[in-house]
Amino acid sequence: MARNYSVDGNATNTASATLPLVNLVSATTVRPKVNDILMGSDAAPADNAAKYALQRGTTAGTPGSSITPQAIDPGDPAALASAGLAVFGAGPTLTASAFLLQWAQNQRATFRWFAIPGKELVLPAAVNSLNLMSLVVGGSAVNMVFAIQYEE
Amino acid sequence: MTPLKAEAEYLDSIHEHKEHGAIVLDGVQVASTKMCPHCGAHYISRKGSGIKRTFCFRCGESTCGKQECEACIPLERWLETVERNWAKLNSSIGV
Repeated sequence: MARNYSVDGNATNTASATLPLVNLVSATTVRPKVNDILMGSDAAPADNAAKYALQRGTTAGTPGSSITPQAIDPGDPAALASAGLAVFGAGPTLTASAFLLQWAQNQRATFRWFAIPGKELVLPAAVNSLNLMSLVVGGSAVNMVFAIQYEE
Repeated sequence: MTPLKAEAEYLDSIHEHKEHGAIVLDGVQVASTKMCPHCGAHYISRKGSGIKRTFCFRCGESTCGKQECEACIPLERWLETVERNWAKLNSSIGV
């Protein structure tokens, strides 16, 4: 039975087509399946809109720091997948046009996307990454807080 | 780029009868997403977008509309191909 994990963190949503805010990196022994994404801002409310996307990559890149995925069930073992957080020194090798989800979000709104069982965003059992990109920022870049939940 | 309200971006979205995912803003569902059976991407159907999507009769689902997804290469086959190539690469370099 699949085990559920959560990757939580925060980063400034500086617009970049090459450097992600956060990424989830799969391993050769597991296919992570992202089923829930929650994102909002803890900055003072303002009308700053941004465009985000989840893009596939074939490498992990060099993250500024690592995030240890937390098991939703405390009885589950450590996650096999890993996660990296901005600011990336070297971006992951992104797959062109391989956007799995794109959305626009106002800073004032809390965004959530979830998938029904069987329709999750799947990563192959190889060192591939799923990268949360901030592609366009209208206004000022602000701190974004996110939670990415997946099963493996 | 300052919409009048947070959900303005999704006013033209179509709520799917059998949705594969949902977008929720501030606790209110504003859009449905469908999953492409070939690349695994989730997309929002928008009224008047002009995006031509292919309906794959083998997979029984609409695709995301990308040209690469017109041919039927199911997501599972793509995943297996990537995994097989990764294993070959690692074995060739002795990892």
